[in-house]
Amino acid sequence: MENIEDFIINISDLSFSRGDRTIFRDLNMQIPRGKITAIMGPSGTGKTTLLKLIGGQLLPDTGRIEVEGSNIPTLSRSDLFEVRARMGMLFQSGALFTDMSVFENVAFPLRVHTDLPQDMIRDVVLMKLQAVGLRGARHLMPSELSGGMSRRVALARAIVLDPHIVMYDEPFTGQDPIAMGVLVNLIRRLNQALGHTSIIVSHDIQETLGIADYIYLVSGGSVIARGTPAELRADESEQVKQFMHGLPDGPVAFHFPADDYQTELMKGL
Amino acid sequence: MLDRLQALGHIGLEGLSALGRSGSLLAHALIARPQPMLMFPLLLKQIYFVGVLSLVIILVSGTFIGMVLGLQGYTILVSYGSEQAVGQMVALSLVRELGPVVTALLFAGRAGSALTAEIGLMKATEQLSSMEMIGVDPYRRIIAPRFWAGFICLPILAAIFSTVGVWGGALVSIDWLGIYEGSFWANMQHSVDFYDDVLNGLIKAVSFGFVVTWVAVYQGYDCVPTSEGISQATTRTVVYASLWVLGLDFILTALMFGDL
Repeated sequence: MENIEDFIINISDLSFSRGDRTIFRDLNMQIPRGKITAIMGPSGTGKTTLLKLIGGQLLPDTGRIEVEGSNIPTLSRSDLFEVRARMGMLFQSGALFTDMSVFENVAFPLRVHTDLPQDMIRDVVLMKLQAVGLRGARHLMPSELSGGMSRRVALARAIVLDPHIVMYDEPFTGQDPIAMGVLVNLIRRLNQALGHTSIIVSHDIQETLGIADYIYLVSGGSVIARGTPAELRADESEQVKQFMHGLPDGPVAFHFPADDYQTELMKGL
Repeated sequence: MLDRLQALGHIGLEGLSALGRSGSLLAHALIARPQPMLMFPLLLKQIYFVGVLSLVIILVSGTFIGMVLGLQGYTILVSYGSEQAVGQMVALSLVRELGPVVTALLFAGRAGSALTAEIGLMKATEQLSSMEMIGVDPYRRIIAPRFWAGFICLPILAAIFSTVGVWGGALVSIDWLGIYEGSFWANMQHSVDFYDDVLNGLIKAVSFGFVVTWVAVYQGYDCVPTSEGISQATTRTVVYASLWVLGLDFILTALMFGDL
């Protein structure tokens, strides 16, 4: 992890706040090229926000976010759209365009970014749909799909331009065990077959540990641990142990900060 | 006292920042590199949704308002013995005022609220975000065609409203109340001036089209992406757009007819 050439994304001294609330403070993170990197942490630590910062949908207060050498926050709108064509993102809800069929959803990035002839677009879309196992569902509308299926269609759409980076926002949340297994397999297989870099934001420990090559554990606005799945499992620090083993109380408290319980009860209205 | 002053300042700042955001939305959607070839099919689709689908309510309302105008005009004018002028009255009130204003109000309720809800839901379901991440500018793909469609459709709808209104007025006055057909139409022809009345009415309709659609797309794009936020944004679209239309109508009327 020392050779700078191997990092496709390099985040340095990133700070970001919403109103008075600080989300990240001097965050440093490097994403290795061609690997599956997971960003994990408790809910509300801003994992999705981090993906939006990488995609340039939000601007940081300070710090650099370099994606393949371009510093995202300083890019012009049109340059940013060019960089985004090399990124695919799978949103938590799938975010399919509800007025288009499955086929048209997957074909959409091809239609806007390339001048390919119709029959070639058709072939590429069918190949991507085949990869996610939904070639037969191409005529359906998004409202006719199950949650797991829409996420697979969204995945096909995210990889249709053969991006260098694919970002997954909570890909396993709300999926039944079969759909979850399918997604885990797909993410791993696609990463190997297409050779892109995958970034997974998740708090599903088992699934994520199973496929990630490298993990960042984020809490309280900064990285609290990093390493391979084996290294994190063996980590002895209280915070890491609480998260990795799902303990209800610990450094991340069960109780939302409040006045003393007894005093508040005695105080009355 | 200080709290109130602070609250007032807060409201003022909020208002200014909303104005800035809506202005920047307009600038991005309209000025930033238009792509006519890509826009045209999207525009046609939106014209169908906001224009063609609003036709029924415009036709029905126009006819009834014209009929009511004929009836009311007749009952007043007949006491002065000048019921022959009812055609003039119907046409002038429709072309100058009721056509553009009522069409804009109906349009805000029918098409404006639909635009806000649609864009708001796209925001809530992350469709706008995913479009941005695919590298497509939602200002150009989503906002611009909807804006232009509203801007184009409202004047046409207002013209249709006035036309069927005149027919409604004629139906009541001539066929029901028995006013002489020749004087009904001749009075109308003599008194309605193309530049003073028809063109000014058209200018009003164009301005209302601009304002109503702007409010609708801005409220949708800027809404809080929750079900409550979308419902509030939809309500705001109808309320703000209607108030803008009525206020603007007074200003335009004062400018156009104030010195007559």
